[in-house]
Amino acid sequence: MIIHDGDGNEVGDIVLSVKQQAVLATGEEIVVIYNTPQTLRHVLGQKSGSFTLLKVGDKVIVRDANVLRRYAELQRAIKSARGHV
Amino acid sequence: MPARKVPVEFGEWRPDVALLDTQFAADVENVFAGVNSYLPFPSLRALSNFALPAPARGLFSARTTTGEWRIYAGTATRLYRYSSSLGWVDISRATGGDYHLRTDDLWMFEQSGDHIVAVNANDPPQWAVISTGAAFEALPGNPPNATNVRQMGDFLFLSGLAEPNQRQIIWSAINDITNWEIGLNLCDLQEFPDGGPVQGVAGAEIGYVVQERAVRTLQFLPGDVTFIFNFSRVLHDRGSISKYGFASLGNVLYFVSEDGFYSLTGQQVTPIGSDKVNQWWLDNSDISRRNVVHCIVPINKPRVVWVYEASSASPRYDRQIIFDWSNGRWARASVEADVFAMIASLGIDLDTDDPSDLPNDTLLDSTSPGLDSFAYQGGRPLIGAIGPDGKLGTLTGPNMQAMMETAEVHLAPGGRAFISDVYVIDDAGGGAGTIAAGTRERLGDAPVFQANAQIEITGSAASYTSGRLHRFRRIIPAATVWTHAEGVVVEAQQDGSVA
Repeated sequence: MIIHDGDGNEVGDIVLSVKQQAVLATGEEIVVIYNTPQTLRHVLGQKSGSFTLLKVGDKVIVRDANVLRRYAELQRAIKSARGHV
Repeated sequence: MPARKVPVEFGEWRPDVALLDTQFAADVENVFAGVNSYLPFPSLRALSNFALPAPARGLFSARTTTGEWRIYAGTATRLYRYSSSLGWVDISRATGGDYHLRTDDLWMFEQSGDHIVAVNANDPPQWAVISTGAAFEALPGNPPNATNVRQMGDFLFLSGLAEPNQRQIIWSAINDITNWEIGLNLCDLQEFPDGGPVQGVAGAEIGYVVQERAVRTLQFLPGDVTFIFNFSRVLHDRGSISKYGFASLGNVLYFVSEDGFYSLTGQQVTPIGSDKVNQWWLDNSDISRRNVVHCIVPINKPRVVWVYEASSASPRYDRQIIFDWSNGRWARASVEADVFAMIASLGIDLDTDDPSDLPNDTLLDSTSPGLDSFAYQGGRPLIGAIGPDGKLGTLTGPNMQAMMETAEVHLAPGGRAFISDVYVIDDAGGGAGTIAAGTRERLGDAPVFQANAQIEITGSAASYTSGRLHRFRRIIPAATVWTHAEGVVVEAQQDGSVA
């Protein structure tokens, strides 16, 4: 799902679950926490953080765009690493 | 030497120990083990005439958010929901075609909130809404195929993953079983370096990761997003031989290992079958299907049941070995069914005209129980099964034919004994059934049983046998009403020598 910052700029494309999307659709905020999977820490290092999403109109907005960028980068790295380990 | 009365108890069934002159039973069948007696074992009673269209390969009951119970079953290719009026309603996935259950495998089910999740090794995990009775569809989030599913706290665990991930488990995001993106909202996987394939996850406050050759405890670490769960190996070299051969009751894990039966409470392992039934079971079960032995923990009785096939000729589960954890005793039974599971009784339709149903009051004119009685409500826990005829049933039928055999005894120490009378200590209605004495001179001989003798109005059976060693086999016919069987009292006197 494409995530935007408060100015409407595209920040990243991340996977949101059916349940997360359903909560967003009600107008509620969701907090997403992330961390490096245990089996990939020796490859990717230990990274963790959290960001808040909410839906405004038909767009999902992130409150802290930089954190989401770091997560999107980690998510890409996870997919890449899982393809090689 | 004058004749004397000698009590011979059936005693605890411990076929693995030397039985001569002990108070252990040599064999029992179709009984439960009481603290000082054996109890009747009920037969499978069909709940309806609706039959599954193919052999059952999974059975489960789940509860709606309003407290009603639903019963689900699976075949090799389809999933069904039971309706007391419609029978088995096919609620298989609309897209993707038939399922592809592996030969001998079972569907495993789990309830998570108002959803039921069903897994097997060859198809993506399926889920359905319980309260609406909707059809199954793929569990969102692209979770891996698995043979075991377990809800533990706010996480859904999948295990029994496909190669090369057999040593891994994966859990969902916290409180979100539609999220399987590892690294997101505490969803993650764990790989275990030893202990072999993970068979499944069990437990409650203390969770257990059950591997083929190890057991680990699993504990949630609230607030710790780095590790999420703590895993500690508490048993190595032993684990569950079967992917369905373990179950937990509270924090106690029961499992069947390569060398028999164990329980595990935290780090305390107890070899519950050692010197009791382990070797007997290994000698009397189908080695080729030990990997699908199924463990069931009834929640209405203090028992653990493993269902298995007796031999390679058995077309389906046909034996049960039962451990009573309140008294540490074992028993066995021979009920044939495609699948067994704990299920809940369905609510009783007050319009029923089935005389075998509670309240058996078709005119609703009795004063007891009242119309809002608890007796009409479903939810009573029962051991359920789907028999060879495809019909859903519960172990609530008439008692099965029971057999209990005493240990072998020297009734005249150092010599031979003549038996003239055997009095049975049980309350089988009307003195039903028979008793047979078995004799032999040497432990190396096969025991020879006399013909079954009917119990007479005196409570005894005439039994004229002579031998150095005696044992007694009591048979109580099917459908006989009885509550306890303790043993026999035999009238014995010294007999002459065979020399």
